[in-house]
Amino acid sequence: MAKYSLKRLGMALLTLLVVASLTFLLMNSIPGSPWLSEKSPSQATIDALNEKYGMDKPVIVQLGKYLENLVKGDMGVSLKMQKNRPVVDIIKEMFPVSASIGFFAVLWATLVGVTLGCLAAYNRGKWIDSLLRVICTIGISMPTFVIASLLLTTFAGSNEALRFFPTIFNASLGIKAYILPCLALGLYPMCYTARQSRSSMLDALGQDYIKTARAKGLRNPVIIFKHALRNALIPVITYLGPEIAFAFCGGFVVETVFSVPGLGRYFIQSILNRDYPVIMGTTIFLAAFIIIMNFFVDLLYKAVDPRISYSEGGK
Amino acid sequence: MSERIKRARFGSMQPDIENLLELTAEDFAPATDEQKEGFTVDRESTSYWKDAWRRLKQNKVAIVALGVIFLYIIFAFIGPMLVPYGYDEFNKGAENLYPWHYSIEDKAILDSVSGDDDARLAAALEAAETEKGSALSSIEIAKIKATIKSTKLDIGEFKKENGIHLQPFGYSTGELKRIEAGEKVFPHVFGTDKYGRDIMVRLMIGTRVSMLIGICAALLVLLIGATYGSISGFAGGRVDSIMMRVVELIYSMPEVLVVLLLSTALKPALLAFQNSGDGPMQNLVGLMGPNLISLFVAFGLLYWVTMARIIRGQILQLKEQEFVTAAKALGASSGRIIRRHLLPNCVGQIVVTTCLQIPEAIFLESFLSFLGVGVSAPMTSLGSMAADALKGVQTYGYRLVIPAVILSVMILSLNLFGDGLRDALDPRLKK
Amino acid sequence: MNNINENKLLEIKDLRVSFFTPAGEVKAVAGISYDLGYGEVMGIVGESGSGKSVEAYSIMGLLQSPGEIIGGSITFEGEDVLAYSDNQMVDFRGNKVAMIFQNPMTCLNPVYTIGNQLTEALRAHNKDISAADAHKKAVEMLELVGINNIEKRMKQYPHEFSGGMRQRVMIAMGLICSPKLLIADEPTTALDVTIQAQILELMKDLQKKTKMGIIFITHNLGVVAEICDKVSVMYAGRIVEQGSVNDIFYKPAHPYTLGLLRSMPRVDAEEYERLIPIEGTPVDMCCPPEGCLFAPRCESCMQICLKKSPPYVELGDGHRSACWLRVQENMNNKEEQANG
Repeated sequence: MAKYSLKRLGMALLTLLVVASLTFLLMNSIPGSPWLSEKSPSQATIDALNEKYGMDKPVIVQLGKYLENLVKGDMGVSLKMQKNRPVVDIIKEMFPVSASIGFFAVLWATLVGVTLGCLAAYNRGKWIDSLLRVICTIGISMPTFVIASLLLTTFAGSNEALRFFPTIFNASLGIKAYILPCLALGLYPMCYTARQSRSSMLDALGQDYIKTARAKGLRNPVIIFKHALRNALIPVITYLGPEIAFAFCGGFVVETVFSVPGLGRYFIQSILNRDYPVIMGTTIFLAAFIIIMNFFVDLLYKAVDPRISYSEGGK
Repeated sequence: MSERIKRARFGSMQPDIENLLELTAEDFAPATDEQKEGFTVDRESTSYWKDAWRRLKQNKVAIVALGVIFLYIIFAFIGPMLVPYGYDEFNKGAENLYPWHYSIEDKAILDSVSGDDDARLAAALEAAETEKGSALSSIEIAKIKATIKSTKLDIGEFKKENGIHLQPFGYSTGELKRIEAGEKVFPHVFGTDKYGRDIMVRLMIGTRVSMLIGICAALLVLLIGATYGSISGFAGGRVDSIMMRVVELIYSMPEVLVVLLLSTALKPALLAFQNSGDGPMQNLVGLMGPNLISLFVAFGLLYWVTMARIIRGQILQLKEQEFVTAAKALGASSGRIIRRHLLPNCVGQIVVTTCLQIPEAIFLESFLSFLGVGVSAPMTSLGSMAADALKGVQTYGYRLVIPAVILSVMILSLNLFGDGLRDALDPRLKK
Repeated sequence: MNNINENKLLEIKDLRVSFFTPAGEVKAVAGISYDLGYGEVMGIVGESGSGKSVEAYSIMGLLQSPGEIIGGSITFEGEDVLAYSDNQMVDFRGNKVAMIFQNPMTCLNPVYTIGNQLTEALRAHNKDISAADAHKKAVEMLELVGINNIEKRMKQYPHEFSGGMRQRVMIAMGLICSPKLLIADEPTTALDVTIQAQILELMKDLQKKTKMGIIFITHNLGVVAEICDKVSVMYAGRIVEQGSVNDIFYKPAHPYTLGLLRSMPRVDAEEYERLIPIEGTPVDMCCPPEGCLFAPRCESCMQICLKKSPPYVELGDGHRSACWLRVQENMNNKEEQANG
């Protein structure tokens, strides 16, 4: 287990390094210096700025310096949006909002998704299965922004009778403020999880060991909850990784629609405003978050499945 | 459980021995081979594709989805030819039209009775305030608001009494006058936006853009993924394990972040290139817009890994089978074996994966366009139309709902058809 | 139900099972009858698709849609199994009749320990048993099937066992409730030849110790000779010949049995003797024709074989065969007797 974890950790760090370098190099390849896009400053000012931010050195040196600073927790300062404020501070302020929305979205999506999936598998071929199938297929066919904006116009729109929620996110409202964003963000992963768990439940129910369990004279609930469910849940865990990634990237849209002051919306604004240090910092931070989450999901997967022998390294 | 026993549908198999005595010697004469041959009727054997097509035809949902996809193709590719408006054409005097209208007379009547709601509210408030002599409490304001609202209901009644109905499609007053004068004016079926652009034409073009992006991205993924996967699977050993490490690396990268990053980074470079001259490449870049190009780059760089994995898995499985060994023994080259023996055998999987890649690409495109980093003006897409509509959503809700529905139904049909195709092509479900 | 023979453990009469597929009704089991005494071992032999496993599943009540029992009766110790309620069926399975399957690699649940899976059946059928007692019983069973290092093995997962070991565990699991009948559905097919022999030896041994009845389903006549008292040969959903092991091996009365025997390698064969395969493939069970279903593959096929299904002919002492050749012989004998 330890060896596998180390190997997997190495892979995660390598991915992170690639993402960080890619981010830096891509941002550096942009022609013209970042100072040009506003008012045209004088050449002397540009030189001074370049020197101040170390931009007169070769790219490789700059990359090294940037990575070194990254490790120290320094991501530079915002150039435009909140001038001279450290990017790390911005992330510290904004991320908790995004994280709580993301967390609750993943939570309800997984719980409800797995339940519905098992329900559908157990009632295979009956009307409830068909109904859930229709709902879930529609669910995975609606882009998050569609879901989000439809929810917004319906439950926070001009129709007074249905106006249960604020149009603009207001953290002081507590849980009420989070309901619509979490609902919108979780719907797609919920439907996806439901489809996945339905098929993996059906797969498990068709296995030989279920036949054995039946032949042993076990009762149906025992067969389903003890023998089938545990096996069916293992593949569902693998979807948690992409789901977390989805929750944070889908957060860009949801936060934009509901005007949530989270990192996702800020990231999009920084892209539209071309605030390069913020773009870089946020990208690397979110990428690191997703990669680390994936790492833990992977370990979890190995931990619940006794078949995996850790020396193999897994596939 | 007792219901499990159904009545036997035919008689007992144990024959009555006594009856057998009626048999003649002729009965015991040997049967010829032909007679034996003709004894059993085998089911007609069908080819893989014929069988798949038969199953697909039985799947009503998939067939309906296919029909919807055809309608979309007509809508997106033939539609714009039939509508006399351009997608970026400003129709003066026809700004902000709803997809419905009142006839000129009805409108005149309505204008005369309704007036401005807000103005009436303000007037009522002022009157109440002067009457009371001090500022109004919130309860009093709410009361007055409610009264104003109730008079609004009267207008609904009024419409009914006078037989005033909404007419379908949007026309500006100017256009209605031209119709009265005997001119033929094409309606704005879904209304117009704030610049007076016809929404239906924009939807058609947006759908076309989304579909083209979906198809091109899927083909790109297919090309790269199939090549990479088949080489990796066929080579095996060290090459395979290195190639799969790369796939693993790319797989663990958060795609959406990289796409956003690429579009940010490539935009200035592409814009510079576009302005550098007037060659065909520059025109192409200009036509697609830098965001779209970064989208394709991202697909080419990141999204092929799933396809590569699937194909590699298939090839690894097929490689062990006898017909490949036979081909090898006959001295066929590796390239030939991949092309002639391996790829045709995993073509079902490839078709399904490609088919399901299309909605995924459309999904991503609309996501990016919605955030403002996808398809850029003057080109339009369903995602950017929805994003534009979000600002005025309280008044012009239909501008958000229509592209959202069109997009969702398109992705739904593609998903359903892809699912149906997978069921039809999956030999494991063969009966 | 008065005519039930009290000495019989299991009695199957004219059992019919059909699968209702979109392509039509498939008569997987088309009327088979046999009985099994206490402590008897019966082999059911036939090629894939002949309905052997379907028949076994019917006894266990494990048939799943689209399979359906459409006629006949199954009587176990004088009780009509088909009339059991769902609850009675659950009690019956694993308790009175146990079943082991072909592929031990996939038949154990990968996420639970062997110990857990062993005691589970015991505790399902005996609610009062304590965890410690169940554990003790499980250890006993593992000892019985020849597994070493038991306490450690109990805590291990199936993937830590080899195929032969897993089959031993499966057998232990089947026998833990001391069933009166064990149905073994090709228990050795998926194993290496040496392991096969060990498992067979073990089963023979256990049968002697426990005096349980066994239905041994296989396509391997060699295995049958090893362990069985009686044999039923199945072809296309019907039993074409039934008899003691000696009858089947030394006096085969059906061309299909003969074909099976000739296609089997023998140690005592003369050097020049060749293995003779049975030509052709089984009929499509979707639309079986009238007449004997083996006819197109039979080398002594006659006119009547193509027209009518053959009746069973008693050849004495429980040996019977469904073949027109035997009918012909019978008639000739009678004629001879009549002629003097």
